[in-house]
Amino acid sequence: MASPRTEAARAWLVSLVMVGAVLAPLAPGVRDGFPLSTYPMFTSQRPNVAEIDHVVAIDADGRTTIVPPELVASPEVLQTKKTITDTLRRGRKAVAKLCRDVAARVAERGRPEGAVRLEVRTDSYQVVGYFSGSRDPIQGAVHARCRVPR
Amino acid sequence: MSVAARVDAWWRAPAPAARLGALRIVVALFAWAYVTARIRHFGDFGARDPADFQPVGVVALASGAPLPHPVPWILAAATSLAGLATVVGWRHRIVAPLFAALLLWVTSYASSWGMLFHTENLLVLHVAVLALAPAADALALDARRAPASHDHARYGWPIRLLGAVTAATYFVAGIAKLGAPGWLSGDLLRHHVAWDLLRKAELGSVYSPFGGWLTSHDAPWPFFASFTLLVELGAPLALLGGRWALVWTIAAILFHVGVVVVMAIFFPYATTGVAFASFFAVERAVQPIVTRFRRSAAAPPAEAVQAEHAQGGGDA
Repeated sequence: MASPRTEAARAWLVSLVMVGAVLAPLAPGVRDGFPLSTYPMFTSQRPNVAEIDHVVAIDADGRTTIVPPELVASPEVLQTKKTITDTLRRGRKAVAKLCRDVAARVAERGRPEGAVRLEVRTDSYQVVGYFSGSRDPIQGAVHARCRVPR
Repeated sequence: MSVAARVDAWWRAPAPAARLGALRIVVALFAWAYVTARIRHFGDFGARDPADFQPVGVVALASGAPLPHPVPWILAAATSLAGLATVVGWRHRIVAPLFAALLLWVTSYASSWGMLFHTENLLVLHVAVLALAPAADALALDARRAPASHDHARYGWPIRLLGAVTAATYFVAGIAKLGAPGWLSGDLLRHHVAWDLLRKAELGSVYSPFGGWLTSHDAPWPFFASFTLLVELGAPLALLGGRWALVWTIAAILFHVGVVVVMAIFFPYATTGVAFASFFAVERAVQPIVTRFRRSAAAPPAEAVQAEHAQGGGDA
């Protein structure tokens, strides 16, 4: 059994290190990390136009549906978003491969239902008014097209 | 008494071993259930493109490349097993630090693929605090043959530290918002929520249509923004205990329920209230359950009892 003095010193050392570590992100210039965070969400103004990289499924009648994240890369939506954006940076071959890989998963799972082809796209939307007005993109670009295998 | 001595007496105020033991059970049980229920999330990275790997935290310090299959699976399974051993308080001095280290690793690894899971920060930190504390001196397999522990400072400071880590986490989030222009008017929050919901909708994920509807109205956002700031910056008040802790905890849970309803973002550790357990005498709720469980585990099967009674009846 440790002496009372040693116990007190240990208690204070562990406490100061832990609380200090959690408060450390308050120091200027510290980057967000895990599990010590600067909690940067909500602290900067987002643009009025949201540019979204996504994979869109198109059925035989031309109706479009967004391919859900778990069929693109991961059930986690932000990891999926990053995968698509990073793939676009890697060039046309990488985007074409992503399109084919997702198409294979769409064919395997049978959803979105009736999908005959996919497009990897970047679409821009007006943030203000999106939920009260039109949800159509104000601008869009197709990076890759592929067929859903039968 | 000097200020330092008063602070020391408050920080290391004696507490029952059962309270720290109950906190170990509650927090480790949550962590074990969380990891086990999401074991694919923590173990299955086979389909990920290695180019997406951006190590964070301890993973960045230890490795620059993804682990080969099936190492993440093995680590996730080991975390689950170590979590269970920590819940029951088996070889706490060795197993609890192992669990804390594994949990830190698997959560950091899962956050190394493009998205930081801030929802897991507090859980990982709390498990680390409990691993460094004598949290299995009561309500634990380790304490089966040990004499009952009296209230002691060694059980008090880890409970204070759990609360302080909680308070500091919210406080840091509040300070970050305080410096953001447009926060108090609610404009920044409203715009951010609209942006986040739009992104989720256009990425084919679950989003809150109610939150979307709210973004087309001005009125609620200054209130939401002020309430958020009040909860986050007011977190240190919970350390005063008693009604302060109760009021703050209710406000924090309401805040997280609001985040679920408006943004479809679920902070399970906080929304269920487990993150705030250290502000309360949780042993009053946990101890009777553990005692009942022990009695039922120790009791002989009903048939054996009946046979024993039948024999005993003849002798009497």
